[in-house]
Amino acid sequence: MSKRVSIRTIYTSANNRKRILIVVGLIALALFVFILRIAYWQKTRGTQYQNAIQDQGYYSTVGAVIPFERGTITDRNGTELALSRKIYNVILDPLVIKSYPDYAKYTFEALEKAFGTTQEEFDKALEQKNSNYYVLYKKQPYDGIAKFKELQTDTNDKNHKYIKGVWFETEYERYYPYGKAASHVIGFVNDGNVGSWGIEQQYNSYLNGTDGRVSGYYNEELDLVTNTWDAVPGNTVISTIDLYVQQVVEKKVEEFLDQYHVNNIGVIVMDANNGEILSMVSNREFDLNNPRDLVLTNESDGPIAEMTAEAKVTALNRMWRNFCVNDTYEPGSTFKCITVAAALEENLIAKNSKYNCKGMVDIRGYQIHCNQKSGHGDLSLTEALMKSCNMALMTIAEKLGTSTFRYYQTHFGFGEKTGIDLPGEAAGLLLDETRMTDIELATQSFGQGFNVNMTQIAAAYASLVNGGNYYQPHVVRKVINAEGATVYDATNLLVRRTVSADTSEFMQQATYMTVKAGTAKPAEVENYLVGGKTGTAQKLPRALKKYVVSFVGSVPANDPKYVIYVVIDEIDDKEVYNKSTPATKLASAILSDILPHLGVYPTTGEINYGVEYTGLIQDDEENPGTLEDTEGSTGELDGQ
Amino acid sequence: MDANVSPRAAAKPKRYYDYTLLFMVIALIAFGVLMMASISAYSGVKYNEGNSHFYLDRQVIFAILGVAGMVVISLVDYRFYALETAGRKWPIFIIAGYLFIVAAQMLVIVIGRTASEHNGSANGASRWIAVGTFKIQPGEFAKLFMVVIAAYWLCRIAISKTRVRSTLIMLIVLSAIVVLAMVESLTTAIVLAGIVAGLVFVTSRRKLVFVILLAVVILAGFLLIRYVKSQDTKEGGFRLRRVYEWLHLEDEDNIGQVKQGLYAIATGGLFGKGLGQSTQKIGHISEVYTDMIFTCIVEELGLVGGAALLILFGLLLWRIAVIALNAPDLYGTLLCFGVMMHIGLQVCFNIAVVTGLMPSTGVALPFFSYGGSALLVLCAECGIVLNVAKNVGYRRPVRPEREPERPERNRKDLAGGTVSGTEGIHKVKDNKVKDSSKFRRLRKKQNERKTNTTRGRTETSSDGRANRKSASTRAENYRRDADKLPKNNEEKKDGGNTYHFDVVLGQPSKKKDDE
Repeated sequence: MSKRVSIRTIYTSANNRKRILIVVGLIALALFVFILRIAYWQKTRGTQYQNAIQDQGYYSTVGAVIPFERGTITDRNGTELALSRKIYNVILDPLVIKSYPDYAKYTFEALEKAFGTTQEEFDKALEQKNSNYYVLYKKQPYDGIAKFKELQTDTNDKNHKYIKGVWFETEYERYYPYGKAASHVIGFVNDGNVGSWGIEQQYNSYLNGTDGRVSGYYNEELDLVTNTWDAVPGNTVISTIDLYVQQVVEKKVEEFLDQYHVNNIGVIVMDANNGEILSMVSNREFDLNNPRDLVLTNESDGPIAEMTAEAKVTALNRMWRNFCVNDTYEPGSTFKCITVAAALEENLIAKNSKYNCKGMVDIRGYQIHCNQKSGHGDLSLTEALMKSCNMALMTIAEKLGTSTFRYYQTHFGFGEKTGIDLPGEAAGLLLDETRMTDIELATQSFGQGFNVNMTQIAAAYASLVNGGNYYQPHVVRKVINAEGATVYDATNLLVRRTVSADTSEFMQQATYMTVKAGTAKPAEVENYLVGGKTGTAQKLPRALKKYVVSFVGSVPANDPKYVIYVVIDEIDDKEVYNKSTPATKLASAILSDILPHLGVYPTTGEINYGVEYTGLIQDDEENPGTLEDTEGSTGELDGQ
Repeated sequence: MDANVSPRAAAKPKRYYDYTLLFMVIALIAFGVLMMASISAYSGVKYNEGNSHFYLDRQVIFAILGVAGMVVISLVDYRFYALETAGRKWPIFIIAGYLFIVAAQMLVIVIGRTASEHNGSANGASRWIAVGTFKIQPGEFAKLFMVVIAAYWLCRIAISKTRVRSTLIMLIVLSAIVVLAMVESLTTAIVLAGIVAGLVFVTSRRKLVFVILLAVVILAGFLLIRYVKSQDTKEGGFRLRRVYEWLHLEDEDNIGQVKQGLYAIATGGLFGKGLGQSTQKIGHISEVYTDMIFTCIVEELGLVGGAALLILFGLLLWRIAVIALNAPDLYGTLLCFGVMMHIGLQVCFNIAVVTGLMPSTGVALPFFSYGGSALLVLCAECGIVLNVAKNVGYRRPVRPEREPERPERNRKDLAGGTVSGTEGIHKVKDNKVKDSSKFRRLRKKQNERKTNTTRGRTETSSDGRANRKSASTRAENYRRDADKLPKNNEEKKDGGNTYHFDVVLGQPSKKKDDE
């Protein structure tokens, strides 16, 4: 251009203006669309997104639950049987990890180093749709967590900040250091600190504490203010179980179960003078740390692998069931002590009463046999117990009469729960008094025709031999809180007096003699004075010839400190199916192992109660041949 | 006529100053600062050692600096930026500005790369040069310079004989800035390209090329969506991921930034949760004080508040457009329009992103998003517009294109000798082109003239609006006008006028010739 043109002489043309207006129009249109668009979102998504915001939580308030530590269960000596361990769950937040590709890479590397996570596991976690919470691992010890946290805060590695979307939940895991020990007494814990079976269920509210909380908010200065309410740990439950005794009994029962196949077996070892249960064993113990690991109690269920889910649940429930508390049976001859004691209390018989056994009695056409069908002949009251003579007992019951007999049944706690602190106690069943005829009275006198549970017999027998004090059987002695203060005390649970000291003394003698030279002979323990009574009850229907055999004993016989009660339901063995010998032998084996531990010192010699006894001693329908060693042991007991 | 008081001197104190625009800008900035106080507090605490007003403090400092700078710049005649110094074909400001921007952008690429390697930044790009505790973003300044350079250049092209070629050359030269910006920030590049495209659109008389361009952009967008949909994966570059996220906005497991923003918008309701009551600003939308600030404004102030903000922007843009339409010359028009494009594009991109109308790009909301460089640049641009507005009222009382039927009077008027002082003042007042009725009247006259004119091109020698004429003819006209100018200038000087510049295109100034 040869000539100058001033910029200010280049004017805006109409075209320029028109096009400016076009652009302005477009922008105005866009702004209008935006306003409509905002209204659209608010109209169509307002509620939905409000919920979404609430779901993803506010960062303005921080809240977290601090789980409480469930209380410990100890045995009587303070050994921890159940305790809570702090464990960590590894939680992934797949949405966070997926939000940026590098997160996945470096987070996986860190997980691999800390926990040995495989790519498969990680990919599976990331597949979770719409999830902020994926439990990668449960119950991790602190080692891996520490390693991961170290990687996450390792400032030397510039990629450490890409390790995202992983956090840890702390919680407490119930742990049973002795695994199977006392499993039926302790019970286990389900998710959410809910106890199942045993002390865990019965004392659930004592064992559970209160969750703590951390909550925070931003104040007006936008400082995070946090408040922490510490968790209140649960109380410690001190049980009456003696771990050593329990383990011995369990071992003996296991050995027994290895030898015989039985329907059920239960053993109770109880303190005779306060009702504390030192040991309670029901069949095979199960692993408390893995309570759903099925241990077959009944082989007829078949291999576990072939069981249906329903069958498994049934089998599990049977495995968890505590035979000592939850089941009832006909007590059999062990009940004879009660009948005799009742008659003595009522002064209807004397200690020196004499009876004659003809082997059978006919009550209105019903023939009731004695265990020795030929009859015991003449025998004393003590001999009636020693030989377990049904005839003598029927005679005694006849004197008692139905109402007095029933009174003593309930007086000794039958037909109602003992109140033992274990869940699901079966009350047992007594025949309605109006339906009690002389036939029922006759059979019930020797323990047939009504149901009891094991704790009822154990507690009643203890009261018979301890001087007449009926204590409520219990498995927990005390509950103390974290500060050591007692919140529950079970040291004095005397329910009532059952018999006089005089009667009790007679029962001590009679039971001693029964073990010394009666049907319970195999229950003898060398150098110990053991008293006891056997029982062999024929199960219904009688024709099947199935028996519940039992032995209840006390030691030392003259000053009972401990009561042992063994019940074996249906021994599947041709030789001993109807004999109490397995029960007495088991009791003997157990006692010989636990008595030194319990501070019952061996005594040399015997007690001479001056009881005269003669003849063959036989248990109910027991083969006399098995008691050959007692044959001919007549005459007076030698004094010490 | 009083010899001591020339009409122009008398008119001078009455210069028009567009307080409407000034206070609109101040209102927007104040609104922005208020929302910054509410919305950035949590982020301030979180990222700056518990200082809840960290971002607010800085925004306030830049707001004060910006408003002061705007007022100062509004006093500088906009033609100063196109002032040509002796011996150079191009104004020193334009050349220096271009080189400065290119250099600064290269610098930020070098420094940014180094910095990103140093701190392991996720996006691998930083857009700033650190100066003390402040970070300067050359990309923002590039927008300002782009407006000035492109406006000037298009003025030259308007009278060029070879418009197409000149335009292409300009585009190639300016593309250097755009490409450099693209390296660090695609969004800055898009806005820069948008400004240039808008300016070219306004000065061009072609239609087809823009229709094709629009079609190409739409097609490209369509293909991009098709591509991302066919891939159906979040893998790939972060830009593709953003497109993916946008396409899957309604998915429940999409809890990305934009979705969180939509949560805020959707839950705002008609009147919002109340100032300061946003919950989404707390942690859910990271760096909510930048690109996503509008979402929380809607959450706190509701549809009403959001609409008010958009209407305020609309009014601002309209005001700038009015100034552009009435600018004394094409250069002023283009400056104003460039500023309008800048603000308008950013507002549209930003709001479109946060309302889910387009994929996330990362464009800041003018006057609201945190950022000193951006705020200073916006204020500077508004200062330029204010100065153009000032000159709207200062234009010659009668202008050739306005009063084409009275060229004689026009010239006399320019000479300053035929109009009395009071008349001059009146005319100045009348020429404050605020009322659109005046526009309509002028346009009507022009149309009448157009329809009446059948005699040819040379007849309307001083008609700058001769749209259908060839470039050469129009350039001839300009030159003819230009021939008359020196005389005017001399007379102006005589009259005590204070024009220190006489922007001349393509030739050394008359003074130089005289020497």
